[in-house]
Amino acid sequence: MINAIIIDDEPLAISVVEEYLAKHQDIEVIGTFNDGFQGLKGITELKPDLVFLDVQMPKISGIEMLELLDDLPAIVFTTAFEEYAIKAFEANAIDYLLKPFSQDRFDASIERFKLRPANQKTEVSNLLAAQPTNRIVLKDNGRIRILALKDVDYLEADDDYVKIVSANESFLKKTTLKRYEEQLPSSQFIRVHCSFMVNLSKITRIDPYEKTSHMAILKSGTGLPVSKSGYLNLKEVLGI
Amino acid sequence: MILLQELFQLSWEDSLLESLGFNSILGVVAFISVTALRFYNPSTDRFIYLILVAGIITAVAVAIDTYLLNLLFDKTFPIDYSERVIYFNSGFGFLILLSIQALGMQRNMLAEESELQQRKEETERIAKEAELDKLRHQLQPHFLFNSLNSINALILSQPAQARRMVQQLSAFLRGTIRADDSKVIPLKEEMEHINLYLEIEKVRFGHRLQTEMLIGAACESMFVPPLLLQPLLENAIKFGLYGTTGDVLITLGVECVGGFLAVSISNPTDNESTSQSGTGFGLTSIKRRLNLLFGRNDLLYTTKTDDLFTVNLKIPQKHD
Repeated sequence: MINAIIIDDEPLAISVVEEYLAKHQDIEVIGTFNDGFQGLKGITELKPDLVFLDVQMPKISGIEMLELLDDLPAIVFTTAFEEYAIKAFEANAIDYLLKPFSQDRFDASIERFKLRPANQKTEVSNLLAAQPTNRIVLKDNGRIRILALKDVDYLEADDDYVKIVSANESFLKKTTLKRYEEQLPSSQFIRVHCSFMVNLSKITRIDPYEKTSHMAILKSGTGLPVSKSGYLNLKEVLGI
Repeated sequence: MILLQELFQLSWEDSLLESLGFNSILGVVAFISVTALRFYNPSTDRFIYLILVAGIITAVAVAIDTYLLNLLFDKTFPIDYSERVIYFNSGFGFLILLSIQALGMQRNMLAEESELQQRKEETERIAKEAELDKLRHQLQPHFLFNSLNSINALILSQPAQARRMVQQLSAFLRGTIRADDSKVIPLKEEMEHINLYLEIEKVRFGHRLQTEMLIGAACESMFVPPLLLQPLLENAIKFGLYGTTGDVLITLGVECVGGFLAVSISNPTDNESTSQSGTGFGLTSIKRRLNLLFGRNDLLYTTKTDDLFTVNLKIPQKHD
């Protein structure tokens, strides 16, 4: 038996999927959820094999929700949005259903799910890079936090984690700086060092430091090391 | 004529004949030259050109005049006078022609200028209308596709409700296409459109979406630009539904204050949440539209408390 859950903020959109699933006797719907918070809880607790996921939902999008999961189930996106379709495939999502979709089209998705390579993993990072963002969504002691990018001071690589410092608080997220380099707007966040990315608007001055490198001083008083190539990056963005 | 008589002591008949003859010829060539100027308007060296043309035309007119008079009334003029008459005619004709042409040219320039001005105004008007049209008809594809998806869901389980929604959606779309910005409509009419919209959204979102309308009875016959309030409600619904996770109450209040219709639309908000980007909250386009319609930037402002976001709007009532 295949266990599936449906996450969508519109009840009727859930009922279409349920109706289309009725003829697939080998798939059972073990839960339906109306937003990303409930959906996250549902996926974590029920560990479904397959998730039908809407993108635009209250407070956090379906994609942001996926980013909070350590282990991703197989995903079929169901949405009226077209712009992420190609990225969804790059992210190895099983399929992408544009609403309103037909039973035939839906059945084709189920087929794709059943025929998927055993080791196929969904890559959320590709999806997030496709979505212009002004915030970072993360989990902090089991609580979901939404940080506005304009409040973030800097990001620091820390082993398998990235430390995100925002308004005197810091958070750890299991990811890489490289991923944030792809995801965050390059005009706002600058890689100044192999371990640091800084919010340009938080810098008050850049001082020479030792012989060849520099130090970026933030409004909060924190000093961040700036490497040679990081200094070049800064100069390019600032146009000096 | 009198000048001719006085200056050259010509006989009364002679000077009358001469004047009539020359002046009518002058009149004809002047008319021709002004008409020609209307079609060909020299832009550079126009004054030199003007003088040249006037000179040539005068010479031609004087020549024709002299020739005709000599032909018709041979030896009527004393020969020593006729030369002086020719000089006089030349000078007189030249001045007259020059001034007529100058006047004609000025008139042409003025006409051209006003035509340019008109064309410019027309272009601006068309551009403004196109922009208004675009702003008004910014139909949210998201709304359309999700509504169609809801209908798709209802077809099997609740066919009657599906049919009802198809009709509501059609009526709503028709209203969106039909709206004409050149005239205002009574609030009552806009409210019918809004109610169609709200009913569709309530089918989509179920009990999560609730609305409250507080409309002063006297305001119903006041006027609003079509499709101005509906996008604001759409905005409030999106903001409310995607910014929070609980039930959402959208309030629309309308009051008549002085020469204005005062509208307030509020939705619950979550202080913590930073709005998702790319959801296109359309207050900017509404502001732009108000500016195009009324030439004012102070008609819309927003207020925010911990849990309520309100858009306040004043719609001037034109007193014609």
